[in-house]
Amino acid sequence: MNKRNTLINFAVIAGILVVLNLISLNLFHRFDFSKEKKFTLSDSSKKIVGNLEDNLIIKAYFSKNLPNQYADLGRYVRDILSDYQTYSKGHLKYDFINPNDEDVLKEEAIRNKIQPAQIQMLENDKMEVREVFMGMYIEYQGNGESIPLIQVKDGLENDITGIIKRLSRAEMDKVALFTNPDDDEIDYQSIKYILGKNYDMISTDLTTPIEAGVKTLVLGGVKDSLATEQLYNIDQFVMQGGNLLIFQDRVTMDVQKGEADEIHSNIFDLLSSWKIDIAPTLVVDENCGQISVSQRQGPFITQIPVRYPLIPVVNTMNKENLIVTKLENLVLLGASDLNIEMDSTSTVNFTPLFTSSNRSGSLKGPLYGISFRTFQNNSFNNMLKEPFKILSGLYEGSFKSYFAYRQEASRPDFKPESTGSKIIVVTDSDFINDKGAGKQPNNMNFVLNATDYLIGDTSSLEIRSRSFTISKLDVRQWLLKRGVDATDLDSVEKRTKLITKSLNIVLPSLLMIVFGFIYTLIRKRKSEKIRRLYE
Amino acid sequence: MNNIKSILKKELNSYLVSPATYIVLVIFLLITGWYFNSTVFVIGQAEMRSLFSTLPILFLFFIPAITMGMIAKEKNTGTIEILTTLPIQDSQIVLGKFLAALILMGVTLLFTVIHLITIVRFGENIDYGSIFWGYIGLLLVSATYCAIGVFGSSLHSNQIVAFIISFVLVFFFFIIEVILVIFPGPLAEFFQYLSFNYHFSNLQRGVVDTRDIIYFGSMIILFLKGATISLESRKWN
Repeated sequence: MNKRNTLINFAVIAGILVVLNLISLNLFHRFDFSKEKKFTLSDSSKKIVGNLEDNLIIKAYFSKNLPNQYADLGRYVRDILSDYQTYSKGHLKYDFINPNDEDVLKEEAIRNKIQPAQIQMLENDKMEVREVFMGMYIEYQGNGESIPLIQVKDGLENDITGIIKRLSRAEMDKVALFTNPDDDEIDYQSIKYILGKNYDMISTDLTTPIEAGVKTLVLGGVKDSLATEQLYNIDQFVMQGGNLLIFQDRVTMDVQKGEADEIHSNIFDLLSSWKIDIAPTLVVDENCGQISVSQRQGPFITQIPVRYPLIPVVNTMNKENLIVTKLENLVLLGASDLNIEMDSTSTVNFTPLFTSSNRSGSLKGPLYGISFRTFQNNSFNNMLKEPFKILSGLYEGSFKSYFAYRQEASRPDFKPESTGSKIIVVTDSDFINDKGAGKQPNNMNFVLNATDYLIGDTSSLEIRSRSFTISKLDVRQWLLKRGVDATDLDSVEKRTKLITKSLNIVLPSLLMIVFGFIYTLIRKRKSEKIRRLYE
Repeated sequence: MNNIKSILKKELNSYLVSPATYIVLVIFLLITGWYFNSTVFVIGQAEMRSLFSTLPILFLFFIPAITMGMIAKEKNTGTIEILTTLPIQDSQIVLGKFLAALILMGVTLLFTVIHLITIVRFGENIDYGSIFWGYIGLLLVSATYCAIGVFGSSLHSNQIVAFIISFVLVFFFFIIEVILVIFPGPLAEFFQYLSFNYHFSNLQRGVVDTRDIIYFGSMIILFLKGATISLESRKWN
């Protein structure tokens, strides 16, 4: 081949390779072979970052030389940001900054709402407190939001995606929350805040039909009957395919007074028509929270904590259901039994979500007897002989309208039956009330998971339920497992590390030399053999 | 195929009987072992990413050192003329030499499995997927460095010059990710894509991206083709 042809040939090959690389930029596939697929972004994250129209800047403020327990975190953040960048079509840029390098950077981090954390760590054989930064600031079109402190990998993707979603004003799903302006015992600030991060929150008093586009209605429970119009609007919302997340007491309690009363409301008629039956009981559970009670000790009155079985602390989750599988320690305040009314002809499927423990019981009306003194004598143990009680469940399927045989059925847009609606019931309204147990982080996570499920955003649910195991290397633990005496542990650990380190340095080189020696020997013998053949 | 095999065998044999090869590789393994030791118990993580991210830096020096004589030496001693009188295509010579260098690097990497044994012995919840693909990534990086090394060696008859050419080339593709800040937006993206580390970082953590495979494949083909043309150029008037 002459020079010209060769060069043309080279140019053609180079051209093909460039085109191939250009095509691969847009037409690519990623396979995640890591354990727990920790570098696979959820579809919703990919979609949100892929729809960015302008440049989004992420500044990750991470100090160097973080303590061991956080050492892997900085790298994970870098990895996940690189994955976001991959799907951003060039619109996402990220920068890693060590604010400890310069005062200007430290000021910038603080200005961007990343506060330094004080971490105690062993340095030069003594405990020292170090100021470290582990946060990020996300900026888009002049607006910004921060994650002030990142301490765990779990849930980070959810946080980042949530912020990008809000900043880019991506179309958010609508969630309506029923608020009764006359009820001053209710405060929904926490769930409004947590749901508002991911959803477009709308308040409704149910006097008018629920706004078009709303996919889920959160009903914080009622203590009285609703107006027929309000009931009708709930019913038709469900009939038209809307989903319901309801936190409804069957019995109200006043712990201070030690009194409890059954709620008489038409909401139970509506729920009953959908085969949802909340029993007029109060569940007591051995696994429970505490209340403070006043006790006279001499001339003084002191507050002492006592266990109160009407505050079940729930850890028995349906492990097969994504909504609750990773949750624990949900706190309820005066919950009731959820009776299952399903039969083989039912068009609705029921899945229990969580229950009380296997040492439970029920208090029945009309008096209930909820005074803490009731639970301080030995007879209380007899109350806990019943198995678990269902406190929350998921109903899915086709529901029939409560108004099917009433005069409202003649309205022009009336729908007699729903197809594919979902209802989640928790038998306690204090579960989401800030004046009850609503501020409990685990309760909030349940609300978020349940809403994601009802909206159909299972990928967000999966991100949140994902947890990462740490690949630990611990010689001490390894020695303990092999029954090394605890008194010798320090010296044995030192010795084991020294031997391991020495082997790691010397052995590969030694093996290489042995390999070379054997190879040369074999070659020599072969040459000798050939030489002898020709002699 | 047989021609490639013959060149490969001859080249590999000349490597394995040379004490210089063992000196280079023993130094490489000593540094690797020392680096592994200096981080593994401090970080306390049962993974090999710290080591994997350091090996390409060592490759910067060791692979050009291994490949510098591949064609340069043949040119210097005149044996290339004998080789080219045989019924062997230039591309087969280049491919045979490239594969020999790659196999040598593969064998060397095999000795680092001792570090993996330490991880397996003392570690919990080990991410074998990431480790396996980390090794594959290292092989791809080695292959790209080897291709550049063979290309560098084909450009000059002096081994030192060949080493410098190869080193400068691999260093360029290695360092561009670090100096990206000096480039404006679109140009930065272009140079980032050219960077070895940008593509290797995915494989290090067990993520196989088709773009990374295509990138490494393209670089290998491009530099091997370049080496072939450089070899052919002696026939040009």
